[in-house]
Amino acid sequence: MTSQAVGIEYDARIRRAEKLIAEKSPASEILSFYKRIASFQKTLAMQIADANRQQLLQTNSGAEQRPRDTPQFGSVRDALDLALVLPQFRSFLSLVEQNAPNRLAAAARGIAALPSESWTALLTSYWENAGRFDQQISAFAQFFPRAFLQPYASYVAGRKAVPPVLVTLRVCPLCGGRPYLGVLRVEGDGGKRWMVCSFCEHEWDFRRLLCPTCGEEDEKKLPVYVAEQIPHIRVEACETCKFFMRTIDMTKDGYAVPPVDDLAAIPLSLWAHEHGFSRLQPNLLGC
Amino acid sequence: MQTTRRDFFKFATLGGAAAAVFGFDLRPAYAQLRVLKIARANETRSTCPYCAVGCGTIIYTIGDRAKNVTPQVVHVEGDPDHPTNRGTLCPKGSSLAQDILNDRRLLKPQVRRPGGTQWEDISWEDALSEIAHKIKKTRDDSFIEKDAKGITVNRTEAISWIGGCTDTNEFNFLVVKAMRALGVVHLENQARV
Repeated sequence: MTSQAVGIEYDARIRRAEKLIAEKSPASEILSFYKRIASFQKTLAMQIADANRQQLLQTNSGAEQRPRDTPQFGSVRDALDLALVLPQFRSFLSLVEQNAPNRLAAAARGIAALPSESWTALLTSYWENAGRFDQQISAFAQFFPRAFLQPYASYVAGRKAVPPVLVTLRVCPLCGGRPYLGVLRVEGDGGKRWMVCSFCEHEWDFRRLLCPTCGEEDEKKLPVYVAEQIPHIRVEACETCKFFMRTIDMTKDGYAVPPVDDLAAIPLSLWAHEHGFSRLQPNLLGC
Repeated sequence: MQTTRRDFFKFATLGGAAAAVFGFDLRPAYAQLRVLKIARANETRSTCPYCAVGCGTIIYTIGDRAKNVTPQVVHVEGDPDHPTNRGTLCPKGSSLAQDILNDRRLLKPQVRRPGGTQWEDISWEDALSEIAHKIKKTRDDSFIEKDAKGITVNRTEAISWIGGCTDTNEFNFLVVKAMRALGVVHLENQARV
């Protein structure tokens, strides 16, 4: 994956955030902040891609017959190279401090004052446990490593070979993380459901009528709630476990960019909460 | 880090509103929430009834399950998880919603008597009873115990059965059991579901 290809993905997110802000989304403040985060993530992801390319060139120069960047099986979590990204953590904290609301900015200041060993511990422990035990981590302790490491996790996931799977998995096949978002993409004349990993953003296919939290299959207990004003965003609830999965329906709006449209749909999260449903995994900004 | 115990519980329990813990202003989101028109839909898996291919479908039904509200089918689409059609439907299958929501759809049994020109309404009970009597009479009248060579065959050639494409494997199993017990030999189904 080249740095340009990585950059295109983040450019799409930034453009979508700008469009939704221009349309006076109720999440404009969140989207404005996300735009800054996405710009940082884009730069970081491109640096990671470039560094990996340099490493590959050095490796291949000595042995021309060796395969070049062949996808390998294995867990995303085995691949953390903190030396590559840690030098950027201070500038990330600085970005948050300058652009986030007061409480988040204060948390960034607090982390910036910690010694680098604490940063290493924060990032390493998140990398090892993200997407699996997030309910036990505070909002602040989750936001910083998640926003910072996501481009790296996503890049590593993009270079992994996906193992053949014969069953519907409720966790990511590459890292074991739980999904935070669903996406319906065109399949035939309908929409096939994909889950997006909350840690590495890998997408894997998932049955339409199945609860990703508890495995409920009874169609009567799996209602879908859709607002007339935003028909491409679905709240797929489960009346058995009382969790819901937000799903972006790309068959209704092909211009949607799932992670961004998910942030903009915060009113639906509030509605779901009012009706007794919890989200399995929150998105980057806890919406 | 200034994470308080209160912050932790806000995140863990509110889920959707954890952004407020960060200090984001959620008042615009709450304002939009009050004007959203949110409808509940149920998705139900089914099988297209038209041909022997047996394509999978998903039927969308709108309704909040209140006792005074009749669920309304609003959309039918191909089931993307179905191995036969993977989300596709032929033009006839795509019009399934019009088959369900149709003033001319029959919702009760009818009978046209021998020599008659009109269809008459009949209750389910009478229809089933009449069919049972006719089967019994036809079988008794046409039953062949031994063929021309004297071999025991115990069959009737006056009754035949053809199954529909939405019949499940289990239903067809019972059909074969029942028909073979009667001695029916002209028996066909479309056991694909």
